[in-house]
Amino acid sequence: MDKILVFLPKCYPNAPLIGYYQVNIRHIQEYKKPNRFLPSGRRPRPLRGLPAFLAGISSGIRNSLRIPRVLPKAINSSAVLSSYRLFWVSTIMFIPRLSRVAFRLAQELSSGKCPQAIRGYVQRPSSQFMQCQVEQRMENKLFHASIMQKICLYSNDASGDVVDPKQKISVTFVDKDGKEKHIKVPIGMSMLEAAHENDIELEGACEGSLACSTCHVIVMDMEYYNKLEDPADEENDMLDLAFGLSETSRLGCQVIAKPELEGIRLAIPAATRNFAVDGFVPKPH
Amino acid sequence: MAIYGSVRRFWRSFSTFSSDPLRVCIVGSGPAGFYTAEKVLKAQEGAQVDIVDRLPTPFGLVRSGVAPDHPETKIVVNQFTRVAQNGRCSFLGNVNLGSAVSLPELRELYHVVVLAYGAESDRTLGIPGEDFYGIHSAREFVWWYNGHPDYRNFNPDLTNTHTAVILGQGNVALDVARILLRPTNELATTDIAEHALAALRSSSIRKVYLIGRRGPAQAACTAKELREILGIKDLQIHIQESDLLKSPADEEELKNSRIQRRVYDLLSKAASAKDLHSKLDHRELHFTFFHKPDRFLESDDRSEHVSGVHLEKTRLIGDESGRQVAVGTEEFEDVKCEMVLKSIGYKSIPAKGLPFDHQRGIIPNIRGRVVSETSGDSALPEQGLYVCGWLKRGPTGIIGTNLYCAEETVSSISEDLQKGLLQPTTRKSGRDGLLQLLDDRNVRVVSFREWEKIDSEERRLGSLRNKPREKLASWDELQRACWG
Repeated sequence: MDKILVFLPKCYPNAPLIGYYQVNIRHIQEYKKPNRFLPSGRRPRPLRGLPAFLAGISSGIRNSLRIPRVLPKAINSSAVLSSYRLFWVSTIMFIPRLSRVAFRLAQELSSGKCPQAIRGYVQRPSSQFMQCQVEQRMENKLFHASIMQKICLYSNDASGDVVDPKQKISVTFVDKDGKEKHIKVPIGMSMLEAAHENDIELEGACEGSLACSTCHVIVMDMEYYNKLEDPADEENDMLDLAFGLSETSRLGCQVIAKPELEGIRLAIPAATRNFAVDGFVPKPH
Repeated sequence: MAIYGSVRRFWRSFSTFSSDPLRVCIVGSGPAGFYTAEKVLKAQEGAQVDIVDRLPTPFGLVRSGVAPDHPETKIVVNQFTRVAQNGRCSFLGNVNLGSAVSLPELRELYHVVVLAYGAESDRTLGIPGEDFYGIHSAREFVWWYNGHPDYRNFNPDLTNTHTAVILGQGNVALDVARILLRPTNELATTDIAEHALAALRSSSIRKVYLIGRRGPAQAACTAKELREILGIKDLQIHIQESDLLKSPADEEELKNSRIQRRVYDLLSKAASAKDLHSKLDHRELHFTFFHKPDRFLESDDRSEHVSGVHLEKTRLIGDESGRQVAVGTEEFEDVKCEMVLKSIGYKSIPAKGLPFDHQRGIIPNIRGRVVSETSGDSALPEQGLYVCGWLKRGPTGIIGTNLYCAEETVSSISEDLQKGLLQPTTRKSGRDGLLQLLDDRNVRVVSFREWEKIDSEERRLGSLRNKPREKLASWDELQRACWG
């Protein structure tokens, strides 16, 4: 066979996450231990493309792991065999990393909210190596960053945990007309974000920064209300201004899903319903 | 050909929906206007909504009223931007109702006109000396530091002022006090207008009085703003303990209101906290309760300039509705000051040709439908004319209050549409007609795209100064940014 397909994980700067190369066997065969002068006296041709790539890998591995110079000899003896060996060595070195990458990718894709950056990353063809150095270093942190960005966008005072898409609790939203909608909310997600993802009409004017009261929800059962942490002063300040305030009112962006809240029911207050326990509802500005 | 024409007419009579969308014009692009637009777009498929504003910049008080050190409150602008970018919605800036286009003309061009232009004027005290130099309304001061183009040359004199008196204790009063007292290095990284920041840097105001007619149990501010101002660095708070005594009526009021309870607790905590150290350049904030202004005192050196406020002590009595009202006790005292800011409430400007309730400062309406005053008992609703926001309810409430207000108005519109009261089959020229009319009058409209140009220019200038944005505060700058 003239050409082989080599799958290599990201272990070389400026390479994409996963790529494949069509390798001409002849180029592999031409790789030699770098001797300054060949027996015939000619200087070796400078290595380009994949051979240079492989040379880079091998020297990198050697340097980082301080492998004695057994490998180069092995490579020298039989170029084709050595290239396969090299390939497997590098793969084995990076299998844990590769599997972590693949697992997270599968996770994100299955949950349906593949972060924008990662999507672009994977889809990029192997021939484009346009990556700036910063991005490469951040590539594993990209997952966390995009997840946290979404969480931070919606929950200011979040527990700080990463959203766990596997564990979900069931939540029922009762809208202004009394219609119920049952949804599944992953642990760590705020109720405001969950409502928006499921097309429930819950306003979030300040997008979870505790500067408004539009995501006001009423916890319909007292026992669930007691399971929530006490609201902070900032949340109470905003709840003061909420329309239709009740004894079990909370801000949706501050109620974070946790296993104890399984089956919680939240009502969206209607303008006509006057739940105000405090009598008249003053409207300051 | 004839068959084609008849088929077309036949088709037309059944597809009036697609060929004649409901055309809605909303006058005012603040929260009320945008929430109304959002709900109309959702409730009526195919409705075409135009939001008209006299300024080239949209968003009303979110841009010109919210204090610069409250950026989280302005995040709602993202939601409004999404509404304006909807294909069925368009923003038409620099269009003044009254001078560029009249209300009857708008009602001719659109099926539905919603007035949501808020309150651009102030309540007056009606006491002697109110027209002295140095006495301004808080609204003007807020517009000035927020870079409103109408108040670019407001130039309040902060260098010859040591004491400022603020009449009123609502959130606007607290905002103004906070901007006057906050260290300017903290303000330098907000989107405060540059001319205001420069003036505040050279300000010599060290004492601010917040004067209210009634007591701490009736203070109109909210806990968040109060907490914020009580926490300002190097600020001495002065509250008289005697003002904090509660009468049985006060206790009753506090029992019924969560907001008042929390505000009262904050004030009593601040009164009891003794600030032992006093720095050389410290600033003072005095909360003065149970006093109302009787008249303004004129300065001897500068004629027609305020030099103090003659205050009358008050006490509370219950009126018929059970509310506690302040009445004078004939005991007077003076407070010396060089600047007075009246923060006693906004007031809407009447629309020409429409009735206006001067007492409440609103256009008379029933659930958002404008009613014209008739001599009889029944009030006739005007066809196709609605109100929303402060113009409908009076100048109270926060941004979120407009959500419910808009819902009510839009449900009234939908009801009237269903009853056939809005002539949906009549073809109205809507946006095209309005743009043609404005073109004939040489009025250049600012589209949302052009606002986005202003927006990106402001943000670019802001990034040079470590601010979120550098507001273009004059008409010239705004025109140059959007029209080049």
